[in-house]
Amino acid sequence: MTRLIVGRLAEALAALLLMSLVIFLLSRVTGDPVALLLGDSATVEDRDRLIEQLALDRSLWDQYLTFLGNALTGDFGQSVAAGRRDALDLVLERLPASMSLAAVALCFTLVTGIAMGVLAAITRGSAVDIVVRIVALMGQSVPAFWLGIVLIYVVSVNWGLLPTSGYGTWQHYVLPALTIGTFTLAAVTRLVRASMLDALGSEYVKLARIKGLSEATVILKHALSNSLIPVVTFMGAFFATMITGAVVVETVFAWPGIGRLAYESIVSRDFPVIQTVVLVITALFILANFCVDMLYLAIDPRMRDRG
Amino acid sequence: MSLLSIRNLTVRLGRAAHAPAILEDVSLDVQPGETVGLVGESGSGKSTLGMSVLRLTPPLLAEGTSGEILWNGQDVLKMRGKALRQLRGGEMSMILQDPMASLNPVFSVGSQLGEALKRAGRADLQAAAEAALAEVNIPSPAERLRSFPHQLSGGMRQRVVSAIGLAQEPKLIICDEPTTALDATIQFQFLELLRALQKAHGMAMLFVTHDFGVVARICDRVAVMYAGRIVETGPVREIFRNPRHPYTRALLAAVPSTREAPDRLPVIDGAPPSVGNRPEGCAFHPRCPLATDRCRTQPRMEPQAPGHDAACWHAKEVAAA
Repeated sequence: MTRLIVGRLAEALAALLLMSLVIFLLSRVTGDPVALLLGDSATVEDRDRLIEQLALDRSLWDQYLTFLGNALTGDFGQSVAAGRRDALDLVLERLPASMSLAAVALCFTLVTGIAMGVLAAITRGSAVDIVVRIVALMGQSVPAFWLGIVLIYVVSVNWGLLPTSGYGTWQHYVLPALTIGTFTLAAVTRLVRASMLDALGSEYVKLARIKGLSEATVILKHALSNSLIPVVTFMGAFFATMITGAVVVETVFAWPGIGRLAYESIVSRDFPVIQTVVLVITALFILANFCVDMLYLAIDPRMRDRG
Repeated sequence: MSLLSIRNLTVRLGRAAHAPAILEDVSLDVQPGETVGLVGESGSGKSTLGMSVLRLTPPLLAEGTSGEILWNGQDVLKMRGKALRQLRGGEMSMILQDPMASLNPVFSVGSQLGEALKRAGRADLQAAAEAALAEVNIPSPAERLRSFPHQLSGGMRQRVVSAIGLAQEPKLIICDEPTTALDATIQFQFLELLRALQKAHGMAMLFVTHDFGVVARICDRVAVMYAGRIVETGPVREIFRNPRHPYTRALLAAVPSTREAPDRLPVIDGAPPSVGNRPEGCAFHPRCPLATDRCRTQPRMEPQAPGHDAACWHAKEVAAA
């Protein structure tokens, strides 16, 4: 088991390293970084100074090692648009807003999705099951930007129940979390329903009933524990959907997170910030997938005996 | 009074009166301490019968179930909630067919066995669990309690399943082909173990199998099933010596003998009918060498000898042959 954990950790670091190379190369193939960083009003002296400062006169390999070295010490360069501020600071400052929104959305989707999936499975074929399945199908089909705008229009503008946008109180979380979580909620519901039906038809659930256990124990302990394994498998992917969804949803709701930062820096061609956002999101993905692997070890004893 | 008395049990695929039947008009009694074998080909309904007794059939079949299953005079089919839970495990239990699938992969052996022992009101769960594993001949039980199912062999898992089945001291244990998934050598060991356990606990046993060899080894009485009906029932010795239904006779003839090795094993021509496509009258008549026009009407179970009944219009001819 220790070997497995160490192996996964090494894989995570390798993935991060590979991603830094991809980001570095992307920044070099999309155009002249000097022109991008300096803007229109720069002089030739400015240009030469920057080339020397960024070591752009050296080989690509040297440049990558410099980039990597700087990155390791936390230096991702300065923002072009936001008054020469440190790019990493800009991103880290926005991170808590995004993380708290993702956490709220993830909790909401997991709790609601699992509950709906279980309910649909145990009432298979009934009206409840049909309604849940239709809602889940719609949830997976509705685009987030549209849902966000419609929610703002109906709930905030027409009914005046919740703030239209911004950040601060718990009321601000409701609509963005709902918007960002809808796709995942639908996916979790369908996944849990399917795996729950498998488990309910299984021999070990039959054995649990033969023992005379109560229906609640049979469903919530014996069937659900197994049905959650595929949900855990997909959690990394769900987290990814939420972070990528954040770019759209944070923009719609004017949420001060890294998703909107990514959008703003793309609009203003603020390359160092874009690079940093992408790298931070990559690191988050890798961390999330590592956590999923560890969670897997915790809930599935069969995994512990591997490798 | 019989311990278990199944009366005119019919199980259809759904509520509709004309829905295809898996079991038709099945009646069977099990006395305390007795071992009854339930023999038939795949699709004959023998497993459904076992499942119905514990009310474990899927919802569609549960809806289509009629008749009576009397347990100490109480109709199991009318039981709800708590009464049903008290029946399961405590009064009747079951050993399932596939040991690889019947243990929950995410809980330890100790946890799954403990659940049953706890219901039986055992005080010292650890000691009780160790004793239960020792009783089914599992070496170093304390260690095995911490094991997860995937760490055990098929034979070992089936012993754990048996220990769980016996944990609440049931009066009847239903075994649904418990040896089918095991290696031949392990099968024999497991049957010996079952027989010893049955004697020690004084349980009755309903043993579902397709193997007459197994029946000969452990059963007192046998009921032969074909296409959803019991076609013959009686003491094992009597049925082996003097079968009265052509199907039973053909099944017995198909059991390979170790004394003489024939070039070809005897087979029954044709295939058993599938549910919903059963012929009218005696369902065996299209495959039966003795069939006449009379066989197009359903024969009733008639006494052939004391405790020996068969449902065949030509039972006397079978006896004479």
